[in-house]
Amino acid sequence: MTDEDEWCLVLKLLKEQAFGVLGTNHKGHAYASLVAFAATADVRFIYFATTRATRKYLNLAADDQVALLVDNRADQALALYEAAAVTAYGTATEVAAAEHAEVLQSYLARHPQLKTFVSSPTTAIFRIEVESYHLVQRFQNVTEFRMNR
Amino acid sequence: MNWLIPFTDLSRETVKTLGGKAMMLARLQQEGFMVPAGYCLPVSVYHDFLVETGLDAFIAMELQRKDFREMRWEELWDVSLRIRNHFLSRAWPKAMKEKLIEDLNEVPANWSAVAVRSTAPGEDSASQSFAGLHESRVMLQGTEAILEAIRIVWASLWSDGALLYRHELGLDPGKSGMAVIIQEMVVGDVSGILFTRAPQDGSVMMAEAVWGLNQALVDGSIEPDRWQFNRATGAVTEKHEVVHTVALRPTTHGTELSPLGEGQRGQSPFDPVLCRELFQAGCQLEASLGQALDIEWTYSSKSLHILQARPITTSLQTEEGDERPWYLSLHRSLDNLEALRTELEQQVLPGMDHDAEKMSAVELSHLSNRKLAGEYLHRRLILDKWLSVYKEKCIPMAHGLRLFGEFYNELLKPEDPHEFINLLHSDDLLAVQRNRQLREMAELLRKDPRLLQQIKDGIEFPDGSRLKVMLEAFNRQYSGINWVLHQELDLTSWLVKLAEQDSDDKNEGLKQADREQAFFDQVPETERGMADRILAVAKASYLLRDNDNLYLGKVRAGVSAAEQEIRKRIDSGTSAGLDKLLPEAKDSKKTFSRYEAQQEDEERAETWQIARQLVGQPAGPGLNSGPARVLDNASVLTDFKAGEVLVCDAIEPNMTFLAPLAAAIIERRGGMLVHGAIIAREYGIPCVTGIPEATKVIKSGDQLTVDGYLGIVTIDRGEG
Repeated sequence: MTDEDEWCLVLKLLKEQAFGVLGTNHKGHAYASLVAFAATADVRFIYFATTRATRKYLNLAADDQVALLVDNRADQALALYEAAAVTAYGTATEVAAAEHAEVLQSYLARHPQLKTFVSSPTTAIFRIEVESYHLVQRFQNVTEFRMNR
Repeated sequence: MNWLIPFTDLSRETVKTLGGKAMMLARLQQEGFMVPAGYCLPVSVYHDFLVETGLDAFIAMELQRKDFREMRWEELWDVSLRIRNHFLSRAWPKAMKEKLIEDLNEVPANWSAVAVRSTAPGEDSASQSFAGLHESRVMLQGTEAILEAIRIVWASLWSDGALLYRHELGLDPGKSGMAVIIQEMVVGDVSGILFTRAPQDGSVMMAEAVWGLNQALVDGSIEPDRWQFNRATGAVTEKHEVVHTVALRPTTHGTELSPLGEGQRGQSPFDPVLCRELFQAGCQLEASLGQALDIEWTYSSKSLHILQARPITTSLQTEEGDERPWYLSLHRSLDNLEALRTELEQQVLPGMDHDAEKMSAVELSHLSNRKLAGEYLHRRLILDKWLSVYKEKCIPMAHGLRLFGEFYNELLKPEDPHEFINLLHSDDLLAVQRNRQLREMAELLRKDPRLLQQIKDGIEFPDGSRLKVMLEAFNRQYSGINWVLHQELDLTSWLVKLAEQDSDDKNEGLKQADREQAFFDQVPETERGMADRILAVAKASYLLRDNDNLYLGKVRAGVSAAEQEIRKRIDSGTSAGLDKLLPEAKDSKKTFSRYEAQQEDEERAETWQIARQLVGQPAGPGLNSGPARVLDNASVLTDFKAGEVLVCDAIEPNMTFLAPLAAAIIERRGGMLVHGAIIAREYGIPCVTGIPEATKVIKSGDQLTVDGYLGIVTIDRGEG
């Protein structure tokens, strides 16, 4: 598999999967949450939404460093070799109200059923500026893609 | 390939793709019965629409929000309303619409109008019959009207009735679908229903008939004549006749009830020729299909047309205690609701009031034990009578709200399916008047920063000051709420809280008259009369929903007063002969439940399972935080403090005074139209309803954040 193929796999995962596991940090304790995400076409940014009363929102307010795992596993033993997973590392910031309309358009194109959820004034939209992607495939093959290079 | 399959070609298809009703009509047509010509739009088109609009995900989300077994009927209606609104507000995918418009060109130009009917797989199978769960639209003209009707019929796959019988119907969001019949409209002079075996007595045939179109009979707005026939000879064996005054007739924009002309008014729609034809058709249909049938028919230009037929031999069997048929009977027509409103306003409520007044005129302490026992039992009987009237008359009146909601959403297709409630605000609601006075006082306080600071420092309002006078008047006016008087400080601190908030009139929105004007401006000229009537009924329904409870509450209070007098005598040892009347008086039920609650609290404190976030129904928009006040029973009402989040089973009308003081409201009972939700919306207080476990998993004092936009309650118990 060439580098290009592997990068295509990253793009494919981000395009085809709807959900990812977001890792946040609270005073040294890791916290993981399932989120519905949408990546920009150039995959430099990933958006997700959360209500402001959640633990992950509080964690993000205290520490903006996050990881997001996106994978295509099936729940079977064989899946370990067949599945691919990509983890995005980056910094999450809340999207300002002025930018909402633009962001929502692309986010809702991916998750139209979440319209009521993301339109609520109590929901915050976050943007992860991705610093790197780590792709894991065939159990232990890991490739890193640095977005600032 | 044309999506529309003519009835003549249906035999190649299956019930799974076309539904039982279409297949039955095609079969009847092939066997030579007069069936209006038509086409069927198969289930696959419904699925295409869902996938292309993304509606499948929305429906799945709606259906998975909460376990249906925990839903009240009101909640089912809300789910159904939201799904219906998704269908209505979704634009047709361009390619689909173009294709359908092209295919609808097949419909013969000489059809004056069409009917669009549901035909769902499983709806009328040989084993089950579900009449009236899905919608039909009649007298449609033009492609746009047909396209609109198709979406409405599709949406009715998820009607509240269908959701009630979802297990029997096998309703599964992934697998269910709805086909649609598009049929030539036959405008009958007389229409009705024919049971080849009467539901109550299978040894006879039974027919019902009205003048005009059938829909008025089906939806209950016109009472029919009911005749029975001997199944061997066709001889009429019994007649139940009513006085006919109106008929449902076609108009340029649909249908309307119109007065009968000279030749028909007061006359039975049945005549010997019709009876003979009905009897013969019934015999032939039953012989052809080999089973007893429930047939909808219309009689036009001296010909009998079969509109639909379904098996009745194994129609839905209801078990004792199954209240679903009663719930379905709550769907009322506009005429029916208008008559009900008159009856409630002129007879039922004055009747309750009269009885309550009579009770309060009796000086219970002067009665002997024997007479007190008699008075108590008499009052119980009166209460039982009114409770049964309440169920029979008052609850169905609530359907006025629904009728208007459906009308409004169909017409305006708003983003928020509950937007229509904004038009029903009533100045006559006691709670609204009370709220307005609170706001006025808070506004005065806000404009006087020095006084505000004084009050915050614990100094009382100066004697004779305008606010003091207003506060006293407020307390006098709501003296029935006597515990509020004991907590005047709370009221004052609530005023301070209100005054310190930004002057926020957002919840007031437009003035009521402006809202109504804006609504009527969007109603087409031809529909205004109807809109006016439906809105009037809905407003009455909204108001009566509170008032009927208050009147019933007065009757209850009469019973309670007698109970209290009996208890008093039991406690003082002068209760000879009264002890057995109130078994619960000895059980000390309240103490027991408090003890139980306490025990539960202790168990809960030790448990490893802690609820962090609960999801219910967003019933009043807004976000607020505060400590929880869980109302287990009435005796803890006095503990409630301003700024707390009220957590309760249901806000009863006599509890609505709590709402202005609450930071937010959480109700176990679900629904957008329950009292708590109505009051919360009136006040602009965040409200979440339909969390059955709320009073169990939330403890008084828990710090709560209530998101009334999304229906989310977050419980913050710290890190422990």
